[in-house]
Amino acid sequence: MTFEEYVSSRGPALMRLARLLAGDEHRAEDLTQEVLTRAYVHWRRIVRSDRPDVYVRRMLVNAHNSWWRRRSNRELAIPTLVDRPHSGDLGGEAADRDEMWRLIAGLPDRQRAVLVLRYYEDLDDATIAEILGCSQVTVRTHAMRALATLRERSGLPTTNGSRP
Amino acid sequence: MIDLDERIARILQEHADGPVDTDRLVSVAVNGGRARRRRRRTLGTGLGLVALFGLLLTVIGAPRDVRTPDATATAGVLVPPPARGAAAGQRPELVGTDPATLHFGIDRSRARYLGWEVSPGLEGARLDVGGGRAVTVELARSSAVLRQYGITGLPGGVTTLAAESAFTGATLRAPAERGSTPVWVRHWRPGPGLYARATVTAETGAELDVAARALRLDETRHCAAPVRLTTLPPGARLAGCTVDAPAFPEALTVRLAVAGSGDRRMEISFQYARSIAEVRTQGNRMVGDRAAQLDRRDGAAQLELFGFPKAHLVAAFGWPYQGFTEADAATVLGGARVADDLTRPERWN
Repeated sequence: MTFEEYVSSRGPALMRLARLLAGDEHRAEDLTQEVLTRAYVHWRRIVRSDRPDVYVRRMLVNAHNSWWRRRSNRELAIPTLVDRPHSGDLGGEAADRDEMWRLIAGLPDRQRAVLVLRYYEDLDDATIAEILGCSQVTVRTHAMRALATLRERSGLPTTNGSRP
Repeated sequence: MIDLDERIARILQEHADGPVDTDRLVSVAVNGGRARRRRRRTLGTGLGLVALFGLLLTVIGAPRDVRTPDATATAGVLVPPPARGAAAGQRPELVGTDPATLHFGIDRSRARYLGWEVSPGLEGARLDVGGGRAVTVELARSSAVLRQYGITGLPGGVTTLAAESAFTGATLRAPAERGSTPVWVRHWRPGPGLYARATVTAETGAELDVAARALRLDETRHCAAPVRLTTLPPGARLAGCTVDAPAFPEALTVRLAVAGSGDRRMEISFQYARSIAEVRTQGNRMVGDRAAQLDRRDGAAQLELFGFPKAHLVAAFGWPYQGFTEADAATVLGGARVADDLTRPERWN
């Protein structure tokens, strides 16, 4: 598979993943371009690996985490996102969706990444662990903490049908 | 009632959706990747020059001739400390030859430092000129060098604009995707034997004029970093120095490139952020009397040395770097010295 073929088939998915991790269209594009540029340089090695797509997604997640660490505003942004009252006149369902997105965006990086890879990419724990470079136990721990936070902050009961 | 799983999946789907220009993804990645390959080749040839200038002595902590710090320098202000020696205005051939030295400065009444960099053949700074957007200013001895160096975060095609005939002082709007914030580029010759480029992602290119006027070619400054490498593997040398701190003093990132013969490369990074709460004290290795963690996966390898509050000190020596070993990384980290006060650049190194 050539680099061009890979980007043609998987580029849109990478961009969508970047949108969820970054929460910002411009940053998502920068992130995707940065990772694809690096992938191009090392493409021969990447394509020889068993799962090039897992590798590139791992690059994307790591690049996003590094970017946040460099700017140090990750934890400063969380209370701002979570505590901000609703703006505008969103109706019930729209307001709920807006609130849930804010809560997800306010989760710590690793917890949010696990939710994105699990619920959006529909990956199993083993693959998520491979992408994040951690154990499956750690993946499940991040997931449980993230779900607990979302339940608590959205006022849902603790047994609400989510996957453990 | 919709359960939490379904709500999460639905929200993520909504926020992931949107048009994607695949052709642009390919073209920008290919152009940027080619520029990086050229940059890596340049790095290799530039290292010989670096060695000639006795860089190793600097790396292992030779005393530095530092003037009295700026009278205005205070904690929390990011300014590279003044150094002695000829500046780019007098000796343009020195630009990009010493990773410990910037041969230019910035008029601080016009701009504020957000970071600085020395790579083989090139020196640069990231500036805030008051418009809220970071301006990157780069100085080199030839237009070819500027064409070879990509600019992080900008389309690879921006570098191709640095043709010899482009250094007129005019500000150009670089091709960008419709709807995205424009990229502005200015190429000019600030002095004999010197080529400069300024770039910014902003609605107008006005900030580039301010940045160009802020460039000072009559001063020399240290490419100061709060991490100093006092030990290097045999035959290795410092090849590059980058300090990136747009949120200083809340956070900063340092990258020090270490190179050996041929393509041997290793990167030492130091990332500090006040928001880092994680404290790790147990690893799977010891470096001297400190715990360290070695991680390997798919050819990548890095060794992190613990014991630095709110910071990560990491030596990356596996893919995409190569040629150095875990023992080499331990040698470098074992001799790394981190400044006591990260908020006072005049006391770094």
